[in-house]
Amino acid sequence: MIEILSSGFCTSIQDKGRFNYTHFGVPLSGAMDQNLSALANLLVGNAEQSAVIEMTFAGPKLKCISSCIIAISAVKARGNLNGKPVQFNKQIKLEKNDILHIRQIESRAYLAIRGGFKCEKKLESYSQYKGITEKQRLFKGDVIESLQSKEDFNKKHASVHYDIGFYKDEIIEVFCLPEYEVLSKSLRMKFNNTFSIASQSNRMAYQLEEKIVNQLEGISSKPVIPGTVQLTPKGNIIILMRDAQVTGGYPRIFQLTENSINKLSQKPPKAKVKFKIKDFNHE
Amino acid sequence: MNVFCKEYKIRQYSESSLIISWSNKKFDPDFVYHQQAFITFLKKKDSHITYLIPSFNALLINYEGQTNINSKKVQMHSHIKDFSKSKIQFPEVETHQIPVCYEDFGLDLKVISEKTGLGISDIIQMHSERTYTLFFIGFLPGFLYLGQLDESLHFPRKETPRPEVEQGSIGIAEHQTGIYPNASPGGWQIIGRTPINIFDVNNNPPSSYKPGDKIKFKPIGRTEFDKLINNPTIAVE
Repeated sequence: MIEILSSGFCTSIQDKGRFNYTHFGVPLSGAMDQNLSALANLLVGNAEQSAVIEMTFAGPKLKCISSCIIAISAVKARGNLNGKPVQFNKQIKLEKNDILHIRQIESRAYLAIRGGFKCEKKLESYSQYKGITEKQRLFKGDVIESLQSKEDFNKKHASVHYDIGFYKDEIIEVFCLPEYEVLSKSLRMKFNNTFSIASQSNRMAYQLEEKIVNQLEGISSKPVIPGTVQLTPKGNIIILMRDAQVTGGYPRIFQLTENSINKLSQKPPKAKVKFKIKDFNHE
Repeated sequence: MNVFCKEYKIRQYSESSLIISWSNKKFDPDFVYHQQAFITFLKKKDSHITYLIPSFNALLINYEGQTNINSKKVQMHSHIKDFSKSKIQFPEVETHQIPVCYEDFGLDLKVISEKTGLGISDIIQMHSERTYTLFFIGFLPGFLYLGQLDESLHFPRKETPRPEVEQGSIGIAEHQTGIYPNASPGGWQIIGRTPINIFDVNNNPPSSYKPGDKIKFKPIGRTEFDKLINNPTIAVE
């Protein structure tokens, strides 16, 4: 059991997402970086899709209420356990009254607890989202219980290989979507440039700083999913992320690969990205 | 045969999804009934589907991670062919009556009245007289997009959206009218509020409305509104 002493910047419970309700306008949600959330779960012997705490930029301060086994996965982060530096991407045993403070994260880290978190489940998912779960994120004073683990804990040194180097480069792999095909050659060329992530980026969508002036007309409202890249009439480039609406009326240019969504979710504002077009038939 | 089984294109959308696009440019109830019947048909045929997102002229189908999408694409053509030859089980079109208190909650009734020259009681009458069709559910979980609005009630969205619109608010935007299932920021012109809950995460399914259903608004007074909002279980006829 864990108590939230301070919530940090944007801390929430997430799992694989909410699948069966998209036709009611319910977003898919789920951990922004599905690779790292799976890693944290595997490190404590959970199923990959168990609920975890997602932490962004500045993490929470937590107090352990009863002893538990946890793991925090991160690309790059700093934090303290009872005042001493804490280890990431490793199993940690927390004892009663331990204080864990995750300070700086680039950009999202995941805390998994052995057995998985036991919290409010709505429409078959633990992922917190406004209008679906009672709270849209974790707040100071929240106490989260964990589910009892079925098997005895014997994988003390569970080793999960993970390539953190994957996150370092600027390459975002994409497939072309219908409205890319109606762009003029010169507009298509502009997508070869390097872009930088704008500060208005969150769980719903990332925006890019650079604009691409265009004459595309809006489309009738069409299905969109996390990873869809939209180009607005004003030239803004919007990359939809996990909490995105399920339909949208802006022209759809690209679709990110699943791994590129994970990679992008680790990039902070001002980071550079470059699109690399992939062909569906040459995967 | 309806455009549904003829005028479509199937393409891959992501590593795990396909999108079917149809040529119709406007909302067509008959098309929507075909699409819903097809979704039911498809779910029975294929257990690898994880979710579907319909719109009035497209359908996105997402499969489990390890699925071979190319073979799904080939299969999809034959699914549509089989569907067109089958005895189509159309969904039942339901008519829902939704009580609305206009006067006390219609924050923008006055503006609309001034700009259109219509009296407030005329606006209420025109809005509640029509039977609307549910176009689709989206934007917010459970948000109902309804049309067609009487032409004289067409009104643009607010230039600056309100930071918060109350749960159950009835709005107008261009040719559509809509219902906010939850409190949220909102740019539609607000003309009333319903005391009933149109989206409830504690129910499964959370919404009893589906595209193609018919909606009729019933004007109610403040006393009845207060009674209903405190007793959400009272059936409304």
